[in-house]
Amino acid sequence: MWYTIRTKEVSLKSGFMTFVLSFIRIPFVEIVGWVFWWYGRGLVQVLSWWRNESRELEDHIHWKQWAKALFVPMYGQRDWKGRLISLFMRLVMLVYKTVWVLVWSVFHLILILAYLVFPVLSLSMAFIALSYWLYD
Amino acid sequence: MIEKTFTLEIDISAQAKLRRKADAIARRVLDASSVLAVTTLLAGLLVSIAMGNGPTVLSDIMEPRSLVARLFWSAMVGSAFLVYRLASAGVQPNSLRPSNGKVRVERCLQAQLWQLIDSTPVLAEFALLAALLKKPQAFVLFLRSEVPIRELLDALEHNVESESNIEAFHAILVSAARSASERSLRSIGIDEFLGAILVQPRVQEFLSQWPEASEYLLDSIRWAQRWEALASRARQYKKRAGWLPKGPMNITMTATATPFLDLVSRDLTESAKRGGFQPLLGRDKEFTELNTLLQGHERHVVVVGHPGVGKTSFFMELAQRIVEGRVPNFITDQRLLSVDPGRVLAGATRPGELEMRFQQLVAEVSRARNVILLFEEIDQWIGMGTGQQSLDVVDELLRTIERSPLVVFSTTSVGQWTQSLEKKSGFVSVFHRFDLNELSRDGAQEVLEAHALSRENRLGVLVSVPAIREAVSASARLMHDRFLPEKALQILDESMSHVSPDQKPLPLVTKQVVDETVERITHVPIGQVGGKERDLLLHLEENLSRQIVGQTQAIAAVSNALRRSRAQVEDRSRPIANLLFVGPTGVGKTLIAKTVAKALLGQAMNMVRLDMSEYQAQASIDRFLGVPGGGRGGVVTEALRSSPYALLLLDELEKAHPKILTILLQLMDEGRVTDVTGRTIDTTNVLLIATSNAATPMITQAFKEGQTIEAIRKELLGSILPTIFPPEFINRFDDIIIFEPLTQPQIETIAGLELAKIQTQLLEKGIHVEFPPPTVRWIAQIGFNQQYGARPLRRAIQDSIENVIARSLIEGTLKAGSHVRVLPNGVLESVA
Repeated sequence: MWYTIRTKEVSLKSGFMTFVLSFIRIPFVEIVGWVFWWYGRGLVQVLSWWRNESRELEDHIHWKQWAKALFVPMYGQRDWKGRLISLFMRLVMLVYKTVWVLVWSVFHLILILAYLVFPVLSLSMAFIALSYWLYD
Repeated sequence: MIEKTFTLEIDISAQAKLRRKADAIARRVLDASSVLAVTTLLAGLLVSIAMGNGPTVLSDIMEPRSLVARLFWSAMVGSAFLVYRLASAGVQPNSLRPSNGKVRVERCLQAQLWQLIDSTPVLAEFALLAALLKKPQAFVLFLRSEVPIRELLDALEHNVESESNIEAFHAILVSAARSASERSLRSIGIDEFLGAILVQPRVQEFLSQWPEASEYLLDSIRWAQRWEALASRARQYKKRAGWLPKGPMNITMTATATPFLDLVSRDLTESAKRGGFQPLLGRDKEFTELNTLLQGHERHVVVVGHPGVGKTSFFMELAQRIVEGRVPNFITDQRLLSVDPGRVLAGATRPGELEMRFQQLVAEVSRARNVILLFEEIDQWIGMGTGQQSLDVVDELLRTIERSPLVVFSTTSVGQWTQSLEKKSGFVSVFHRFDLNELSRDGAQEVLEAHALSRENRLGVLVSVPAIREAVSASARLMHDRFLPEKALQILDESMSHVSPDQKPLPLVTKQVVDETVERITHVPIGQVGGKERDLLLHLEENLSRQIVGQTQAIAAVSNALRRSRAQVEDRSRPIANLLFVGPTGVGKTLIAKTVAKALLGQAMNMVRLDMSEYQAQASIDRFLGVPGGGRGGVVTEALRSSPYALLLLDELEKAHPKILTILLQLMDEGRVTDVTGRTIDTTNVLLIATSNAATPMITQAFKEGQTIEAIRKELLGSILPTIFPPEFINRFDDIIIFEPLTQPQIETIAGLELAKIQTQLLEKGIHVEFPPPTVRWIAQIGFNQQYGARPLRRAIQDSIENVIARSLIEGTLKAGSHVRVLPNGVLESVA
């Protein structure tokens, strides 16, 4: 284990100068930080949100449980008619749930893509729009 | 486990602090201006759209020359920037997970901690502690630990350092990082920082002036942390439960309707899904065991536990775990239904109706296949009937489920298990016994903490850590016939409702409030000794001496024992004191015991007096402990159970049956006794006084010869008592007190006291009677007998004084307003 704590008192510049420097430095730092954050930690956060959502998807639509119960009659109807109707209904439900999973996935994919594209698109569009404004 | 290295690089110079402050302000200004810009742009955009600038909005947006496009895309850029600022507000704490085994502590500090560090001019233990006390979040922790805040602040003022102590500051931060990392946190907050300060040696030493303060403080931090964990579990739970189907249907829709079952049972999983239950704490081990049991194909389980250990809460938690999916696969997505015997029974009047109902119930369960049955207090179901008919539901149930895959839970108390279920044929082979023991003190503390938090807001009070601990430990110590956590919860609940939310200076439920509640419930004084009681205990000897003549040694022994017990300075796994009074009859052995009980009666001490001559036969044990099979305790055990703070007076101990002595041995040695029903009665608040006339001739002779008390004691212990009592029994006495025979002057004093009582009684009737000294001497003379002590005195007073007075009262010669003198021959002489 090691540590460094700097305590040496630097000759105190005027408080005013420190504030002026901060007001110049911080916008610059934050704008650069924004770009790095968006495609770095921010992206990681979005992806981990997406991963959690995917995990919880099974909790919401129970696709796997329905697939496992494909041949189990619904509502305890154990005669052959009941089983046939059940199988049919379960197939319909599975298709429906599969579609749901697909829609969900596509929707999320769009969201992630939008996240990736959003700053580039808006920055470039804003840049173009404003440059036209300047030239016009 | 990866070995972690904690590194710390932090600039705490004034310049750096100023720069961090300036940076923070600059960030705030930047955020504010961004919000302003985006808002203006969006407003402009709306105005521009409303004014109908261009054919459609969408085409406008994509047309770079349009005003709408300029406003829209600029607003979007601003919004994206704001998203970044919001998501990474303040200092973004790094994960405490090490990269290459290295944790950079300075990157894991939360913004408020940075703020604290930067606003504290001196970075050292006490200065930081003082600064922390100004934070509401930390202040509450101090309140909860019952540390006297004003005193603490004053003391801190004297201790606050004038220079930073870098070594200590480093140690605090690294220790905070370590504890946060052990708890798998992402960053270091105020709680960890305070915890780290508290364990610093100098702070520990400083806090030692308030007993247990640092322990209570650390406990209140742990409490807050556990609460965070619980809240996070609750959020997850709510999310998951919201997506589960409600009602009798399961996820895969295989279940069938269960109309009758729904009518006669309570759906615990349904209530759990709706968030109706509190999480059960301190029972993780039991749930792991239950899961193992269920995975091992055990399908029928009876949970056996004493009342109050939380059998119902155990199943409420099981329902919540079913919702969370924290159970073996085959019971996820099942309904846990608690069948109510009253509802099954209601209106079943026709013969055979009950059987039918029960069969219908079992049939519905078998068909639905998603039901777990729970029979709470299954012993109630034995011989259940409506008067005209009775059906042994338990037998019916056993027959039905013996080979079925139905999962059936039931509960019963330990007493009922031994009394009825264990003996019931087939029950033990079908149901697997699962013991739910009394919750440990730590577990009970956790339960109480969660309970306190859930009620604090509603009642507008705050509960302290010492209060919680006291509720657990006092109930464990004094309420032996009930169990944790229920008995501690009762104390906590009553204490919380006794504190008014308007109480000044603070509606805090303290240890003292809990002590008062415990005293109310158990009648055992346990709180701080105060006021009247303090006077009574301090002047007990004087008080007793006024009523008892001589016997100073005995009075001192009893008084000291009581003071020791009340100040709680000794090991209390035994009675308050076990004293043996030996001496001739009529010297005041019993009187001392009676007087002590009377003096302390105001403090709720009761006297249980047993004449051991009634306990000479072996059969008298039943009277002592209860008749086997009678379902009730004995005279002694019941008396001590209802009033645990008692003086147990055993008169003429030498006459007791040897087996009674064996029982007393346990009572005296372990501070408890078990009655026939299996209940343990606490005797740690009993003052046991046994009297014995054994060895009277020897004691009288020895005093006549002028032997010292020590010599008499030696002979008594060496040769006489061992012939009467077993040696191990004699050893259990804390003190053996030898009573001297009374002398003539002492008898005179006693006579004076007795006559004074008569005087007082007559004065109430308005009659003034005088007993001049010669009369007192005369009475003492005729009432004194070397062999019987002061006992004949009572008869002498009765024969020579009371009879004469009674006759005169009836004759009418003595009436209200009379003033007489009693002469030494018993004649009444009128005083003019």
